[in-house]
Amino acid sequence: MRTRWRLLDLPPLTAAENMALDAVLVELRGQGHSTNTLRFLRFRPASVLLGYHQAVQEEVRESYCRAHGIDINRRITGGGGLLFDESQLGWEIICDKAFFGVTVPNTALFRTLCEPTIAALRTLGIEASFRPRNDIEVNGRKISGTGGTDSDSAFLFQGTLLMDFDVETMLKCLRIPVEKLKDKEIASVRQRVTCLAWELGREPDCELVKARLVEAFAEALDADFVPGGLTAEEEDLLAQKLPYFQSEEWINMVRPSRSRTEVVQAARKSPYGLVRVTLQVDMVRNTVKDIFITGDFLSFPGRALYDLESVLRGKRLVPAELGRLVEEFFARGSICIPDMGPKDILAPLGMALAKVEIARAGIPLEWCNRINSTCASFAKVLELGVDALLLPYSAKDPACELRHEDYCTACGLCSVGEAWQLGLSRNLQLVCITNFEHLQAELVRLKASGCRAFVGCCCQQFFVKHTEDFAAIGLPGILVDIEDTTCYELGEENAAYKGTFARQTSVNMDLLMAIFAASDRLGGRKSDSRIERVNDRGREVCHESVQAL
Amino acid sequence: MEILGYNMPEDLYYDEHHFWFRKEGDELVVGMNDFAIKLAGQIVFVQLPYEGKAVSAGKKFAKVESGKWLGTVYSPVDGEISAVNEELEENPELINRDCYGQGWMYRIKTDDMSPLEGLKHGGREVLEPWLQEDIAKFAKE
Repeated sequence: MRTRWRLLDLPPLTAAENMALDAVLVELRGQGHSTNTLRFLRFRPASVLLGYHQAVQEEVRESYCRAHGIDINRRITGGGGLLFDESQLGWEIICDKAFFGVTVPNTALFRTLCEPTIAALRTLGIEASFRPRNDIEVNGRKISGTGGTDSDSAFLFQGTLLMDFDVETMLKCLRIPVEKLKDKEIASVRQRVTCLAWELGREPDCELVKARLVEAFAEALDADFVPGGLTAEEEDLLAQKLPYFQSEEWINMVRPSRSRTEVVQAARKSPYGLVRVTLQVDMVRNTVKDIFITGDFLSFPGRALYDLESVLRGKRLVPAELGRLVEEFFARGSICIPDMGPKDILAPLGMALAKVEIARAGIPLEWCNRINSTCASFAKVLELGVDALLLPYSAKDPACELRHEDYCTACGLCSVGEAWQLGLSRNLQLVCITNFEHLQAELVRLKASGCRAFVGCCCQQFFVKHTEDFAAIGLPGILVDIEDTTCYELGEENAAYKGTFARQTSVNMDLLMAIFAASDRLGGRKSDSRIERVNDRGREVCHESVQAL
Repeated sequence: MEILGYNMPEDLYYDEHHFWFRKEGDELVVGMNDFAIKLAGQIVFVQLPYEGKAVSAGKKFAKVESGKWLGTVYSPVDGEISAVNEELEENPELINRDCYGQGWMYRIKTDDMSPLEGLKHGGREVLEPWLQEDIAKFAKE
């Protein structure tokens, strides 16, 4: 039976007005008032809209939005944050649950409600398709997201349609991890999304798109759409609700204590390319909030990588479960990367997850990207017990007469002295490393002497370059980034290698102390018998031990 | 009790949205049933109202999010929230893993349990036709 629906197409409204109106429409319809409605939404000014349970502080760069007159508000539906600029078009179905004959939405209903948008896009020559659970894509690139909620006997189901897409502004408004990505990678993130303007190669005619949507919904729902305005009851309830939707109480309803987002990154270079995994994790809910897999490799089909990301998105932060999902994705033949297999994704993913584990050991996550471990995980190294601390000569004052000596008198004039003091107080073996060969010799000596594990300070690039060398020596250890400009950034790595780097770096003492505090918590106790302190020029030596690790 | 592939304990009361209610003294324990979980997929957020919040029979009092769907929880009785499962704040997936146990959501204190009589309750002869009907509805979609 053909039914009669209202077509509600109001002029652009503010975010608070649009959100309040959503609440009004679904609430009244849920009480059996008004009629089933197809509504179009436009926003003026541009607005950032959060999902119902998201926190503003977590998701939005408020100062940027304020400075650029962009509204911030919260949807009454779930999902993630998005930028609704003045060019975007939103659509909504507000109707009786009885119309669809169900009380709880299911995958099939989501699909049914996405079909009209897909059909409308096809009439415009765009090959759109459904992506479970409720998105619409064009060749793997998302063009429309949907979501919904209910109230008593009514559903509200809504979708966005990207008419044009202002990537730069979106990145500036929303706290998306791509801020940590390089330019090349931002371009690849851009490839995950598309819009009508890009697909058509010209600015879309909004009225035409609306007309096609109305036709497609009419066909799919077997309904006639009659343009109409708000009822008096809706107007009254809107006036009543609007102040709440404009209030801080609503906009800041969710505080970050209910979610804490952090970003970790790891990259691994194989002979066939670099694979970088950027993980946005919710530390409270323990889930993968978002993931970007990027790099200089090719994958087929073009959309496969985005599909893999969407398989992992929202999942729990359990390495084994995530690993299984990646393995299965490859096993199904859903992706093909020449000369690479699941392991090439799993390795950097595992490294990124290891950083999350470091955070769990009590190290602030913003520091976890400054920590690497060799021959064992971070937690394992601490569990084994740290017996030695290695410090870089480059952090000593270039004028210090001990700059190229393997010890320090802790005079207090540079960070090496502070670290040396910390090492003494913890009864560690201490060595100032003077060049790469010296480092190798010391690690070999420490290992042979029964040292269980070490903490060393060096720059990240040094570690990346010598990862294999550390692994070959086989002594478990934690490498902590040093601060300030390093030899690699200055192109002076050869000088540093030989021990003639002339500038001064510094040891990150806060991070070093946090690591030893975590070590105390994880219970890696000092072995007493094998190592004995000797007051030889302020440095420690150890008795050779026959007991190897 | 397994009915048509769903675990449906017979000591519980079920509302039309597939939430379950268990009487414990003058309290009702509330959660989502197996049918709802299988429809919803992974639960990503559960709104936890403050303890002492008044609830009314047939009225909504909280939201649950799965996928991008924000669902509603209705109280079958008049009363107040006497406890919420704080664990769900950090781990809403407990509902997926153990919907009748660790995944309980709220406790409602009430003086009047009589509205429960309007809910689905009983053995296979009551639950199976109801579930059968809902399975058919969802299959049709």
